[in-house]
Amino acid sequence: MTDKPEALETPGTLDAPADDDGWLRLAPAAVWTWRLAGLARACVVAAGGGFAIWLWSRPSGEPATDALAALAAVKGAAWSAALAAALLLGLGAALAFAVARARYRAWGYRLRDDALVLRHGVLWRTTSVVPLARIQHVDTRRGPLDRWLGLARVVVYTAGVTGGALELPGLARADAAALRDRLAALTGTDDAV
Amino acid sequence: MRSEVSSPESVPSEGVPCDGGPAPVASTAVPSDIDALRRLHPATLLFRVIGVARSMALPTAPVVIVILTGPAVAVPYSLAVIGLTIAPLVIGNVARFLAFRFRLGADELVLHSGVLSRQQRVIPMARVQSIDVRQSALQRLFGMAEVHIETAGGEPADSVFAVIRGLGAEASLSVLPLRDAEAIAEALNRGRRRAMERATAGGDGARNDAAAAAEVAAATVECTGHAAGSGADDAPRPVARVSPPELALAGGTANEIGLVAALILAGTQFLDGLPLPVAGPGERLARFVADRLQLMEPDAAVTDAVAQQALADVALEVGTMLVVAAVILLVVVLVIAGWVVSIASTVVRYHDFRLERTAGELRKRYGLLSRRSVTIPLRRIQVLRVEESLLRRPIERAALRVSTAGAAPGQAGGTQLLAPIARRADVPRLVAAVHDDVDYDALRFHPVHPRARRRIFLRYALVIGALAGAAVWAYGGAGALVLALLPLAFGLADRQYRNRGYALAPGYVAARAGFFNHVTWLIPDGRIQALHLTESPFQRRYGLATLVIDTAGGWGGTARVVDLSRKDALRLMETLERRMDELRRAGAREGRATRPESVRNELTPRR
Repeated sequence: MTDKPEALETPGTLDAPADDDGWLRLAPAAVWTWRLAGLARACVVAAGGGFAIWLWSRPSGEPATDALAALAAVKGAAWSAALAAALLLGLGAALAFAVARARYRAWGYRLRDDALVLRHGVLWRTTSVVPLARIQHVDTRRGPLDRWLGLARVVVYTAGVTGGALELPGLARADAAALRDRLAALTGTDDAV
Repeated sequence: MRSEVSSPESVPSEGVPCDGGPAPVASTAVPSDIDALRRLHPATLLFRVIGVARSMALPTAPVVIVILTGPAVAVPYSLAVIGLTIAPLVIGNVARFLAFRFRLGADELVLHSGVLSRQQRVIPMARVQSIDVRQSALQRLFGMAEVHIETAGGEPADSVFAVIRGLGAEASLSVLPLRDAEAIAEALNRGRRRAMERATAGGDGARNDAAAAAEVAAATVECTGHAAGSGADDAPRPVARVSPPELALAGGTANEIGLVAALILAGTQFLDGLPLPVAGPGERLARFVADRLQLMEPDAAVTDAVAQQALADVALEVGTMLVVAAVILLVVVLVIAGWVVSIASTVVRYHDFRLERTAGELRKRYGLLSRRSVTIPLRRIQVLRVEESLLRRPIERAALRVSTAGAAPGQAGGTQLLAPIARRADVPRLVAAVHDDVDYDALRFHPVHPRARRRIFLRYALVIGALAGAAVWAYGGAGALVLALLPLAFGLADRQYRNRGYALAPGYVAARAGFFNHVTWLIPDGRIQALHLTESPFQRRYGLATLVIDTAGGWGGTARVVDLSRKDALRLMETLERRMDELRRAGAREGRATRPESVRNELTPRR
């Protein structure tokens, strides 16, 4: 028995960026949502780290012999703090970009005749199967970041508790609308609960 | 001592009263008052005033004390204070009582409320999930009862989580005369069944409406709670009855005891400061003895000092032992007291627990002080759980719970007891009462991957290793004895591994898990909402995966099979998907073409 059984491999029926092994990918711009989030976090960490370094490397309480020495001491602390912050920012940004790329590659979805299948997660890999008959309704959502990047999220609601609302982030606007319409059309036929 | 089933001959027949009162002839309420607005019974005011008094008792207690013990000149002011605080509450309750009206229509229950801002709430019968007729002890004294109507989204109040989250009934009619309450409950039940039939039948809507109206107008409703002449299929079939000794057993083995004991033990944390309180009496004793010694030769100062020290040490030890003994005794007494309280409360709360099955629903009645009657539509049951806790397994008992659906998508449903306790041998029969076509004992559980045992054992080993490290650091080499726990840990891991698994029956999937509590979930294929396959980084290393079966049931309604081999997990997922697809095709073939209106309406609740 192969590792991935045939049932999960049926190609999707939606037009979207093509990819390997039959999974539809998110819009390429989606990677920026994670990059920007990661950068924001890196900035916060860099600021915090820089501040910590500045506190640590400030001159101790002894009064300086003259104003020049005092200035030199403070300047030294500020410079080391700035250097530390820059380093942290650089590292953080690199990490954020790497993570964002991994997450983008991990995201995939496909729309089969009877179910919507989602795949995501880098460390905690999750594959979710939502039978079309169980979908209560479908929303599209656009936050400010999504709007700026020209993306949309599709939220699929089931009556389930654990995975009651499954979210597909970072689809192109047109794709999101198409998916939502297709799902809405396909799910009119059953009693969901 | 058996949880027995009363024989069919003793099924209550028409005309037998609800709770032993004189047999009524017919209810005066529902049939003639259809489409008429009604108020609650005036006795409501009495209960509301009692409620106000109870809630205001604590805040007004200081004022009352002042009245009783203070200077005479303060009395009129105190009375004025009490009057000013209570009067608005009483007036408000009276106004609300006068403003509250309800109407039981053919297809819905309409509630009008609000003094300043009028509100109208329409509850379609199709949305009603369970109807609960309750009587507190005081209400029973006056022959009154409350009707609590829950649409999905509210939890029955015997769930602790309902209390915590503050969820309650969608609507409640409190109080009405008992007969009226039962009649309304029955009318709601019938209305709900009609709505469901209409929804599944589709095109027969018009015919059903006419028939329904005729049925409601003509029916006479009796105290047993079902209409005379509404059909043989309405006769409730008794499923289970739990006797007081069994309830005592349930209370004695409830998991809550552990909680109580833990709370008590947490409260005795003053044990940490043991040296301090003991030093007091020990020191005093030592000083007293030293005093005596000092009365001897004054130049034996050195021996005195030594003797003093020795005596102080002895006194300290004796004192310590006494205090420790006293504390242990106290803890034991408290635990026993907690245990007795648990038993007593269970026996009182679930007194005379009866479970009945009618055509499309289960009805359970229980309670000594406040008698409850709860109906659970079978259609709403998402998951059935069989729970065998650590304490109950040796005595071959189990508890059964059902999770019911929520109303709006993503809204949690409720989990409630189906039977507080049952013999293990009776479980298949109880399961069959909910799902006719399941043979519980015939379920063959596939085990999870053996590597799961290794993972569990590693987790325990890490904890033991950490403990051993701490012990060695604190006590030296002897601390390594902690490692002797490792074989025990392996045994425990093995037990836990063996208890996990999944089983497939025609039309159902079952999952088993749990360590202290062995839980078995039984989920009909049609109730699966979604399937999730998750692999943590550790699981990926071993080629394992966890399958999560999501249902619309509330907390506890999601089944997890942890640490299957990835292949097995995928195969199981595929099998379940195929089954769900077949169900869908079969449903489409039978002509259930459109989603019932009642379900569609649930997505946007009308208020």
